[in-house]
Amino acid sequence: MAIETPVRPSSSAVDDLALARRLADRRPETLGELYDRHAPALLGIARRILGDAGEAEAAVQETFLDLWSQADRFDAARVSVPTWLVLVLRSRALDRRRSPGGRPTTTAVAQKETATLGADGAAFERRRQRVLAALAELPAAQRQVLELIFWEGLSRGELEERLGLTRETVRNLALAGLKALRRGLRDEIRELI
Amino acid sequence: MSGERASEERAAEAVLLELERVAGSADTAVTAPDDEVAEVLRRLYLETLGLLGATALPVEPPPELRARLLAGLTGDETQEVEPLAPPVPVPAPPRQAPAPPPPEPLAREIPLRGAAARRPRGRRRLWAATAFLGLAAAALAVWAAYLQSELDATAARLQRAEAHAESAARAHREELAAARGETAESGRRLALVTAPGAAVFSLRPPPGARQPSARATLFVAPDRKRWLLEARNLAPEPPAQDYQLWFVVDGIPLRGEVFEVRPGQTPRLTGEDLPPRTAAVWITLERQGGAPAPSAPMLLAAESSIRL
Repeated sequence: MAIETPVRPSSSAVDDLALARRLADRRPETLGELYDRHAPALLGIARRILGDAGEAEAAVQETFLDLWSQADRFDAARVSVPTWLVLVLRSRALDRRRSPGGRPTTTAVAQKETATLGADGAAFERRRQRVLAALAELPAAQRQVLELIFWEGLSRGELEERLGLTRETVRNLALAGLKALRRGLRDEIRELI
Repeated sequence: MSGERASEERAAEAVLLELERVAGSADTAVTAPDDEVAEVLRRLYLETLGLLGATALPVEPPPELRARLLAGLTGDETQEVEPLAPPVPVPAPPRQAPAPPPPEPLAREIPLRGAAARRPRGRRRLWAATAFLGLAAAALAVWAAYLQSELDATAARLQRAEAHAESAARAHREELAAARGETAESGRRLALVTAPGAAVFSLRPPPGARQPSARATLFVAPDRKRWLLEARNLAPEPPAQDYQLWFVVDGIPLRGEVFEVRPGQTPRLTGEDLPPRTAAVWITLERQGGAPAPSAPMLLAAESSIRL
Protein backbone atom coordinates (compact mmCIF):
# COMPACT_ATOMS: atom_id res chain seq x y z
CA MET A 1 0.00 0.00 0.00
CA ALA A 2 2.99 2.31 -0.13
CA ILE A 3 2.19 5.49 -1.96
CA GLU A 4 5.64 6.06 -3.38
CA THR A 5 8.99 4.41 -3.27
CA PRO A 6 10.19 5.87 -0.01
CA VAL A 7 12.81 8.51 -0.26
CA ARG A 8 15.65 7.12 1.79
CA PRO A 9 16.43 9.84 4.29
CA SER A 10 20.09 10.69 4.20
CA SER A 11 21.90 9.54 7.32
CA SER A 12 23.06 13.11 7.73
CA ALA A 13 19.47 14.39 7.90
CA VAL A 14 18.53 11.65 10.35
CA ASP A 15 21.55 12.34 12.54
CA ASP A 16 20.74 16.05 12.57
CA LEU A 17 17.16 15.31 13.52
CA ALA A 18 18.18 12.94 16.31
CA LEU A 19 20.69 15.46 17.63
CA ALA A 20 18.13 18.25 17.53
CA ARG A 21 15.77 16.09 19.56
CA ARG A 22 18.46 15.26 22.06
CA LEU A 23 19.05 18.97 22.62
CA ALA A 24 15.93 18.90 24.73
CA ASP A 25 17.97 16.94 27.28
CA ARG A 26 20.12 20.07 27.71
CA ARG A 27 23.42 18.30 27.18
CA PRO A 28 26.09 20.67 25.93
CA GLU A 29 27.90 17.83 24.15
CA THR A 30 24.88 17.41 21.86
CA LEU A 31 25.17 21.03 20.79
CA GLY A 32 28.89 20.40 20.39
CA GLU A 33 28.15 17.60 17.92
CA LEU A 34 25.83 19.83 15.90
CA TYR A 35 28.46 22.54 16.02
CA ASP A 36 31.12 20.18 14.69
CA ARG A 37 28.86 19.21 11.80
CA HIS A 38 27.72 22.66 10.75
CA ALA A 39 30.04 25.35 12.10
CA PRO A 40 32.43 25.42 9.10
CA ALA A 41 29.61 25.98 6.62
CA LEU A 42 27.98 28.57 8.87
CA LEU A 43 31.22 30.40 9.46
CA GLY A 44 31.76 30.53 5.70
CA ILE A 45 28.35 32.13 5.25
CA ALA A 46 28.90 34.58 8.09
CA ARG A 47 32.30 35.55 6.71
CA ARG A 48 30.77 36.17 3.31
CA ILE A 49 28.08 38.42 4.79
CA LEU A 50 30.17 40.20 7.38
CA GLY A 51 33.73 39.99 6.13
CA ASP A 52 35.13 40.48 9.61
CA ALA A 53 36.28 37.22 11.24
CA GLY A 54 35.39 38.24 14.80
CA GLU A 55 31.93 39.42 13.84
CA ALA A 56 31.35 36.25 11.87
CA GLU A 57 32.34 34.07 14.80
CA ALA A 58 30.02 36.05 17.07
CA ALA A 59 27.14 35.50 14.65
CA VAL A 60 27.84 31.76 14.54
CA GLN A 61 27.96 31.61 18.32
CA GLU A 62 24.65 33.46 18.60
CA THR A 63 23.09 31.06 16.12
CA PHE A 64 24.02 28.00 18.14
CA LEU A 65 22.87 29.69 21.33
CA ASP A 66 19.54 30.35 19.60
CA LEU A 67 19.30 26.69 18.71
CA TRP A 68 20.11 25.76 22.30
CA SER A 69 17.53 28.07 23.78
CA GLN A 70 14.82 27.20 21.25
CA ALA A 71 15.47 23.47 21.08
CA ASP A 72 12.11 22.60 22.57
CA ARG A 73 10.36 24.65 19.89
CA PHE A 74 12.26 23.26 16.93
CA ASP A 75 9.81 21.61 14.54
CA ALA A 76 11.54 19.17 12.22
CA ALA A 77 8.42 18.84 10.09
CA ARG A 78 8.70 22.47 9.04
CA VAL A 79 12.37 22.90 8.29
CA SER A 80 15.57 20.85 8.30
CA VAL A 81 18.24 21.51 10.91
CA PRO A 82 20.86 22.81 8.42
CA THR A 83 18.37 25.16 6.79
CA TRP A 84 17.20 26.44 10.15
CA LEU A 85 20.78 27.15 11.13
CA VAL A 86 21.60 28.83 7.81
CA LEU A 87 18.54 31.09 7.89
CA VAL A 88 19.00 32.08 11.54
CA LEU A 89 22.68 32.73 10.95
CA ARG A 90 21.91 34.83 7.87
CA SER A 91 19.44 36.84 9.91
CA ARG A 92 21.94 37.33 12.75
CA ALA A 93 24.74 38.28 10.39
CA LEU A 94 22.59 40.79 8.50
CA ASP A 95 21.47 42.29 11.81
CA ARG A 96 25.11 42.75 12.76
CA ARG A 97 25.97 44.25 9.42
CA ARG A 98 23.13 46.74 9.69
CA SER A 99 23.91 47.69 13.26
CA PRO A 100 25.57 51.12 13.72
CA GLY A 101 29.05 49.61 14.07
CA GLY A 102 28.52 47.15 11.24
CA ARG A 103 30.68 47.22 8.17
CA PRO A 104 29.89 46.46 4.57
CA THR A 105 31.78 43.51 3.22
CA THR A 106 33.09 42.04 0.06
CA THR A 107 32.98 38.41 -0.77
CA ALA A 108 36.69 38.42 -1.48
CA VAL A 109 37.49 38.73 2.22
CA ALA A 110 35.45 35.70 3.08
CA GLN A 111 37.06 33.49 0.49
CA LYS A 112 40.49 33.67 2.04
CA GLU A 113 40.46 31.14 4.83
CA THR A 114 38.75 28.07 3.55
CA ALA A 115 38.61 24.96 5.60
CA THR A 116 40.37 21.71 5.03
CA LEU A 117 37.59 19.45 6.12
CA GLY A 118 38.46 16.06 4.69
CA ALA A 119 35.43 13.98 3.74
CA ASP A 120 33.07 16.65 5.02
CA GLY A 121 34.85 19.14 2.83
CA ALA A 122 34.23 16.95 -0.19
CA ALA A 123 30.52 16.76 0.64
CA PHE A 124 30.36 20.53 1.15
CA GLU A 125 32.10 21.07 -2.15
CA ARG A 126 29.81 18.69 -4.04
CA ARG A 127 26.74 20.48 -2.72
CA ARG A 128 28.32 23.86 -3.39
CA GLN A 129 29.02 22.95 -6.99
CA ARG A 130 25.46 21.66 -7.51
CA VAL A 131 23.95 24.84 -6.10
CA LEU A 132 26.28 27.00 -8.17
CA ALA A 133 25.31 25.01 -11.25
CA ALA A 134 21.61 25.45 -10.51
CA LEU A 135 22.14 29.18 -10.03
CA ALA A 136 24.08 29.36 -13.28
CA GLU A 137 21.04 27.94 -15.07
CA LEU A 138 18.95 30.95 -14.03
CA PRO A 139 18.69 34.05 -16.17
CA ALA A 140 21.18 36.63 -14.89
CA ALA A 141 18.51 39.02 -13.61
CA GLN A 142 16.77 36.32 -11.55
CA ARG A 143 20.08 35.15 -10.12
CA GLN A 144 21.08 38.69 -9.22
CA VAL A 145 17.82 39.39 -7.43
CA LEU A 146 17.98 36.16 -5.41
CA GLU A 147 21.59 36.75 -4.45
CA LEU A 148 20.94 40.30 -3.36
CA ILE A 149 17.99 39.15 -1.27
CA PHE A 150 19.91 36.34 0.38
CA TRP A 151 23.37 37.79 0.81
CA GLU A 152 22.60 41.44 1.33
CA GLY A 153 19.13 41.13 2.80
CA LEU A 154 17.71 43.74 0.44
CA SER A 155 13.98 44.33 0.61
CA ARG A 156 11.92 44.73 -2.53
CA GLY A 157 11.97 48.49 -2.11
CA GLU A 158 15.77 48.50 -1.82
CA LEU A 159 16.07 46.20 -4.83
CA GLU A 160 13.81 48.49 -6.80
CA GLU A 161 16.13 51.37 -6.02
CA ARG A 162 19.36 49.44 -6.53
CA LEU A 163 18.39 47.83 -9.82
CA GLY A 164 16.18 50.56 -11.25
CA LEU A 165 13.30 48.13 -11.76
CA THR A 166 9.67 48.36 -10.77
CA ARG A 167 8.61 46.58 -7.62
CA GLU A 168 6.44 44.24 -9.67
CA THR A 169 9.38 43.28 -11.86
CA VAL A 170 11.52 42.61 -8.82
CA ARG A 171 8.79 40.41 -7.38
CA ASN A 172 8.38 38.48 -10.61
CA LEU A 173 12.12 37.96 -10.99
CA ALA A 174 12.43 36.71 -7.41
CA LEU A 175 9.48 34.34 -7.69
CA ALA A 176 10.51 32.96 -11.05
CA GLY A 177 14.08 32.49 -9.86
CA LEU A 178 13.04 30.78 -6.67
CA LYS A 179 10.67 28.43 -8.47
CA ALA A 180 13.29 27.49 -11.04
CA LEU A 181 15.87 27.00 -8.32
CA ARG A 182 13.56 24.70 -6.36
CA ARG A 183 13.16 22.51 -9.40
CA GLY A 184 16.85 22.59 -10.14
CA LEU A 185 17.77 21.64 -6.58
CA ARG A 186 15.25 18.83 -6.16
CA ASP A 187 17.90 16.24 -5.27
CA GLU A 188 19.64 18.48 -2.75
CA ILE A 189 16.32 19.25 -1.07
CA ARG A 190 15.60 15.55 -0.79
CA GLU A 191 18.94 15.05 0.91
CA LEU A 192 18.06 17.71 3.44
CA ILE A 193 14.68 16.29 4.33
CA MET B 1 -3.45 25.60 -14.08
CA SER B 2 -4.17 28.97 -12.51
CA GLY B 3 -4.85 27.28 -9.15
CA GLU B 4 -1.55 25.48 -9.38
CA ARG B 5 0.36 28.62 -10.18
CA ALA B 6 -1.37 30.64 -7.50
CA SER B 7 -0.71 28.02 -4.84
CA GLU B 8 2.97 27.82 -5.67
CA GLU B 9 3.42 31.57 -5.95
CA ARG B 10 1.73 32.13 -2.63
CA ALA B 11 4.11 29.74 -0.93
CA ALA B 12 7.19 31.18 -2.63
CA GLU B 13 6.15 34.71 -1.91
CA ALA B 14 5.38 33.98 1.73
CA VAL B 15 8.86 32.54 2.19
CA LEU B 16 10.47 35.51 0.45
CA LEU B 17 8.53 37.89 2.66
CA GLU B 18 9.65 35.97 5.73
CA LEU B 19 13.20 36.35 4.51
CA GLU B 20 12.75 40.10 4.20
CA ARG B 21 12.07 40.31 7.90
CA VAL B 22 15.72 40.36 8.79
CA ALA B 23 15.38 39.89 12.51
CA GLY B 24 13.98 36.47 13.28
CA SER B 25 13.43 35.73 9.63
CA ALA B 26 13.91 32.05 10.15
CA ASP B 27 11.24 31.76 12.80
CA THR B 28 9.64 28.58 11.62
CA ALA B 29 6.28 29.45 13.09
CA VAL B 30 5.74 32.74 11.31
CA THR B 31 2.64 31.75 9.42
CA ALA B 32 0.23 28.94 9.89
CA PRO B 33 -0.36 27.55 6.43
CA ASP B 34 -3.96 26.84 5.69
CA ASP B 35 -3.46 23.41 4.23
CA GLU B 36 -1.02 20.61 3.71
CA VAL B 37 -0.07 21.70 0.20
CA ALA B 38 0.88 25.17 1.34
CA GLU B 39 2.82 23.68 4.24
CA VAL B 40 4.79 21.37 1.98
CA LEU B 41 5.47 24.05 -0.63
CA ARG B 42 6.55 26.48 2.05
CA ARG B 43 9.01 23.94 3.37
CA LEU B 44 10.42 23.24 -0.09
CA TYR B 45 11.02 26.94 -0.67
CA LEU B 46 12.61 27.38 2.74
CA GLU B 47 15.02 24.53 1.99
CA THR B 48 15.73 26.07 -1.42
CA LEU B 49 16.65 29.38 0.15
CA GLY B 50 18.77 27.68 2.76
CA LEU B 51 20.75 26.01 -0.01
CA LEU B 52 21.81 29.41 -1.34
CA GLY B 53 24.11 29.52 1.68
CA ALA B 54 25.93 26.49 0.35
CA THR B 55 27.63 28.65 -2.26
CA ALA B 56 29.85 30.13 0.45
CA LEU B 57 33.13 28.33 1.00
CA PRO B 58 33.30 26.71 4.44
CA VAL B 59 35.74 28.15 6.94
CA GLU B 60 37.42 26.13 9.68
CA PRO B 61 36.36 27.70 12.97
CA PRO B 62 39.08 28.42 15.53
CA PRO B 63 39.04 25.90 18.41
CA GLU B 64 38.38 28.62 20.96
CA LEU B 65 35.01 29.39 19.34
CA ARG B 66 33.71 25.95 20.23
CA ALA B 67 35.13 26.19 23.72
CA ARG B 68 33.57 29.63 24.19
CA LEU B 69 30.20 28.42 22.97
CA LEU B 70 30.12 25.41 25.28
CA ALA B 71 31.44 27.43 28.20
CA GLY B 72 28.58 29.85 27.65
CA LEU B 73 26.14 26.98 28.03
CA THR B 74 27.58 25.94 31.34
CA GLY B 75 26.60 29.31 32.71
CA ASP B 76 23.06 28.80 31.48
CA GLU B 77 20.87 28.60 34.53
CA THR B 78 18.28 26.59 32.68
CA GLN B 79 20.75 23.84 32.02
CA GLU B 80 20.18 20.74 34.00
CA VAL B 81 23.26 18.62 34.23
CA GLU B 82 22.20 15.06 34.65
CA PRO B 83 24.53 12.89 36.65
CA LEU B 84 26.19 10.20 34.56
CA ALA B 85 25.33 7.61 37.18
CA PRO B 86 22.67 7.49 39.83
CA PRO B 87 23.67 9.04 43.11
CA VAL B 88 26.02 6.82 44.98
CA PRO B 89 25.00 6.15 48.53
CA VAL B 90 27.57 6.88 51.14
CA PRO B 91 29.39 3.61 51.67
CA ALA B 92 28.88 1.98 54.99
CA PRO B 93 31.78 2.35 57.32
CA PRO B 94 34.20 -0.51 56.89
CA ARG B 95 33.60 -3.54 58.97
CA GLN B 96 35.93 -3.61 61.88
CA ALA B 97 37.92 -6.74 62.28
CA PRO B 98 37.70 -8.12 65.76
CA ALA B 99 40.27 -6.18 67.59
CA PRO B 100 42.81 -8.14 69.47
CA PRO B 101 43.00 -7.50 73.14
CA PRO B 102 44.59 -4.16 73.60
CA PRO B 103 48.26 -4.58 74.14
CA GLU B 104 49.83 -3.12 77.05
CA PRO B 105 51.06 0.36 76.52
CA LEU B 106 54.64 0.39 75.44
CA ALA B 107 55.44 2.61 78.29
CA ARG B 108 54.74 -0.30 80.49
CA GLU B 109 57.26 -2.35 78.63
CA ILE B 110 60.18 -0.38 79.79
CA PRO B 111 59.78 0.30 83.40
CA LEU B 112 63.08 1.30 84.81
CA ARG B 113 62.65 -0.07 88.17
CA GLY B 114 60.56 -2.52 90.16
CA ALA B 115 59.85 -6.23 89.52
CA ALA B 116 59.40 -5.87 85.81
CA ALA B 117 62.73 -4.26 85.53
CA ARG B 118 64.21 -7.45 86.68
CA ARG B 119 62.63 -9.52 83.76
CA PRO B 120 65.17 -10.87 81.41
CA ARG B 121 65.80 -8.48 78.49
CA GLY B 122 65.04 -11.21 75.86
CA ARG B 123 61.52 -11.82 77.15
CA ARG B 124 60.75 -8.15 77.15
CA ARG B 125 61.86 -7.88 73.56
CA LEU B 126 59.73 -10.84 72.55
CA TRP B 127 56.73 -9.40 74.28
CA ALA B 128 57.22 -6.04 72.56
CA ALA B 129 57.61 -7.66 69.16
CA THR B 130 54.45 -9.72 69.71
CA ALA B 131 52.53 -6.63 70.70
CA PHE B 132 53.81 -4.75 67.68
CA LEU B 133 52.88 -7.56 65.32
CA GLY B 134 49.44 -7.80 66.90
CA LEU B 135 48.86 -4.12 66.38
CA ALA B 136 50.10 -4.30 62.80
CA ALA B 137 47.83 -7.28 62.09
CA ALA B 138 44.87 -5.44 63.53
CA ALA B 139 45.63 -2.37 61.45
CA LEU B 140 46.03 -4.49 58.33
CA ALA B 141 42.72 -6.22 59.01
CA VAL B 142 40.98 -2.89 59.36
CA TRP B 143 42.62 -1.63 56.17
CA ALA B 144 41.66 -4.79 54.27
CA ALA B 145 38.06 -4.48 55.41
CA TYR B 146 38.02 -0.88 54.31
CA LEU B 147 39.46 -1.75 50.90
CA GLN B 148 36.92 -4.54 50.48
CA SER B 149 34.06 -2.19 51.24
CA GLU B 150 35.49 0.33 48.77
CA LEU B 151 35.72 -2.38 46.15
CA ASP B 152 32.13 -3.43 46.81
CA ALA B 153 30.94 0.17 46.53
CA THR B 154 32.90 0.72 43.30
CA ALA B 155 31.53 -2.47 41.81
CA ALA B 156 28.01 -1.38 42.70
CA ARG B 157 28.64 2.05 41.20
CA LEU B 158 29.96 0.50 38.00
CA GLN B 159 26.95 -1.78 37.77
CA ARG B 160 24.60 1.15 38.14
CA ALA B 161 26.58 3.20 35.61
CA GLU B 162 26.48 0.29 33.17
CA ALA B 163 22.73 -0.09 33.60
CA HIS B 164 22.28 3.63 33.13
CA ALA B 165 24.45 3.68 30.02
CA GLU B 166 22.57 0.71 28.58
CA SER B 167 19.27 2.41 29.28
CA ALA B 168 20.49 5.66 27.69
CA ALA B 169 21.76 3.77 24.65
CA ARG B 170 18.42 2.01 24.31
CA ALA B 171 16.60 5.36 24.55
CA HIS B 172 18.87 6.84 21.88
CA ARG B 173 18.36 3.83 19.61
CA GLU B 174 14.61 4.23 19.96
CA GLU B 175 14.92 7.95 19.37
CA LEU B 176 16.95 7.36 16.24
CA ALA B 177 14.44 4.81 14.99
CA ALA B 178 11.63 7.30 15.60
CA ALA B 179 13.56 10.01 13.81
CA ARG B 180 14.20 7.68 10.88
CA GLY B 181 10.53 6.77 10.73
CA GLU B 182 9.46 10.37 10.86
CA THR B 183 11.93 11.38 8.21
CA ALA B 184 10.94 8.49 5.98
CA GLU B 185 7.27 9.41 6.35
CA SER B 186 8.06 13.01 5.61
CA GLY B 187 10.16 11.88 2.67
CA ARG B 188 7.31 9.79 1.29
CA ARG B 189 4.97 12.75 1.39
CA LEU B 190 7.49 15.12 -0.07
CA ALA B 191 8.42 12.62 -2.77
CA LEU B 192 4.92 13.01 -4.13
CA VAL B 193 5.11 16.75 -4.19
CA THR B 194 8.57 16.93 -5.64
CA ALA B 195 7.79 14.33 -8.31
CA PRO B 196 7.03 16.07 -11.58
CA GLY B 197 3.38 15.51 -12.45
CA ALA B 198 2.12 14.77 -8.93
CA ALA B 199 -1.36 16.11 -8.23
CA VAL B 200 -3.11 17.28 -5.10
CA PHE B 201 -6.77 17.46 -4.13
CA SER B 202 -7.22 19.99 -1.35
CA LEU B 203 -10.43 19.05 0.47
CA ARG B 204 -12.33 21.85 2.22
CA PRO B 205 -15.71 21.89 4.00
CA PRO B 206 -18.53 23.05 1.73
CA PRO B 207 -20.52 26.04 3.03
CA GLY B 208 -22.55 25.07 6.08
CA ALA B 209 -20.62 21.85 6.68
CA ARG B 210 -20.68 20.47 10.22
CA GLN B 211 -16.91 20.63 10.75
CA PRO B 212 -15.78 23.98 9.34
CA SER B 213 -12.19 23.67 10.56
CA ALA B 214 -11.61 20.22 9.07
CA ARG B 215 -9.19 19.88 6.17
CA ALA B 216 -7.79 17.03 4.11
CA THR B 217 -5.30 16.62 1.32
CA LEU B 218 -5.17 13.80 -1.19
CA PHE B 219 -1.80 13.47 -2.90
CA VAL B 220 -1.78 11.52 -6.17
CA ALA B 221 1.42 10.05 -7.55
CA PRO B 222 2.38 10.79 -11.15
CA ASP B 223 1.18 7.32 -12.19
CA ARG B 224 -2.35 8.48 -11.22
CA LYS B 225 -2.91 5.28 -9.23
CA ARG B 226 -1.12 5.57 -5.90
CA TRP B 227 -2.45 8.10 -3.45
CA LEU B 228 -2.09 9.34 0.10
CA LEU B 229 -4.79 11.06 2.12
CA GLU B 230 -4.07 13.16 5.19
CA ALA B 231 -6.92 14.68 7.19
CA ARG B 232 -6.71 17.29 9.93
CA ASN B 233 -9.13 18.59 12.54
CA LEU B 234 -11.71 15.89 11.88
CA ALA B 235 -13.67 15.09 15.03
CA PRO B 236 -13.79 11.45 16.17
CA GLU B 237 -16.71 9.77 14.45
CA PRO B 238 -19.94 9.26 16.45
CA PRO B 239 -20.76 5.72 17.65
CA ALA B 240 -21.72 3.28 14.90
CA GLN B 241 -20.46 5.58 12.17
CA ASP B 242 -17.30 5.83 10.05
CA TYR B 243 -15.79 8.39 7.76
CA GLN B 244 -15.84 7.37 4.10
CA LEU B 245 -13.84 8.58 1.11
CA TRP B 246 -15.45 8.94 -2.31
CA PHE B 247 -13.79 9.25 -5.72
CA VAL B 248 -16.00 11.08 -8.18
CA VAL B 249 -15.72 9.88 -11.78
CA ASP B 250 -17.92 11.36 -14.48
CA GLY B 251 -20.11 12.83 -11.74
CA ILE B 252 -20.63 9.48 -10.01
CA PRO B 253 -19.17 8.99 -6.51
CA LEU B 254 -17.35 5.66 -6.32
CA ARG B 255 -16.93 4.01 -2.96
CA GLY B 256 -13.52 4.62 -1.36
CA GLU B 257 -11.84 3.72 1.92
CA VAL B 258 -13.58 3.82 5.27
CA PHE B 259 -11.62 5.22 8.19
CA GLU B 260 -11.79 6.21 11.83
CA VAL B 261 -10.41 9.22 13.64
CA ARG B 262 -8.84 9.00 17.08
CA PRO B 263 -8.52 12.12 19.23
CA GLY B 264 -5.32 13.99 18.52
CA GLN B 265 -4.39 11.77 15.57
CA THR B 266 -3.88 12.74 11.95
CA PRO B 267 -5.47 10.00 9.86
CA ARG B 268 -3.32 8.91 6.95
CA LEU B 269 -4.61 6.51 4.29
CA THR B 270 -2.78 5.17 1.30
CA GLY B 271 -3.98 3.30 -1.75
CA GLU B 272 -2.89 2.11 -5.13
CA ASP B 273 -6.22 2.04 -6.85
CA LEU B 274 -7.29 5.59 -7.65
CA PRO B 275 -10.04 5.19 -10.24
CA PRO B 276 -9.06 6.59 -13.65
CA ARG B 277 -10.53 10.00 -14.48
CA THR B 278 -11.15 10.85 -10.81
CA ALA B 279 -12.17 14.49 -11.01
CA ALA B 280 -13.30 15.16 -7.45
CA VAL B 281 -12.93 13.68 -3.96
CA TRP B 282 -15.39 13.79 -1.08
CA ILE B 283 -15.50 12.68 2.52
CA THR B 284 -18.79 11.90 4.27
CA LEU B 285 -19.84 10.37 7.57
CA GLU B 286 -21.59 7.04 6.92
CA ARG B 287 -22.82 4.06 8.88
CA GLN B 288 -20.15 1.83 10.39
CA GLY B 289 -18.36 -0.14 7.68
CA GLY B 290 -19.31 2.31 4.94
CA ALA B 291 -22.16 2.76 2.48
CA PRO B 292 -22.45 1.86 -1.22
CA ALA B 293 -23.37 5.44 -2.08
CA PRO B 294 -23.13 8.69 -0.11
CA SER B 295 -26.10 9.00 2.22
CA ALA B 296 -25.00 12.01 4.26
CA PRO B 297 -23.97 15.56 3.44
CA MET B 298 -20.40 16.13 2.33
CA LEU B 299 -18.06 17.04 5.17
CA LEU B 300 -15.10 17.77 2.92
CA ALA B 301 -14.84 18.07 -0.84
CA ALA B 302 -12.34 18.92 -3.53
CA GLU B 303 -13.92 19.44 -6.92
CA SER B 304 -10.64 19.72 -8.78
CA SER B 305 -6.97 18.96 -8.38
CA ILE B 306 -3.82 20.95 -8.88
CA ARG B 307 -0.71 19.60 -10.48
CA LEU B 308 2.61 20.31 -8.85
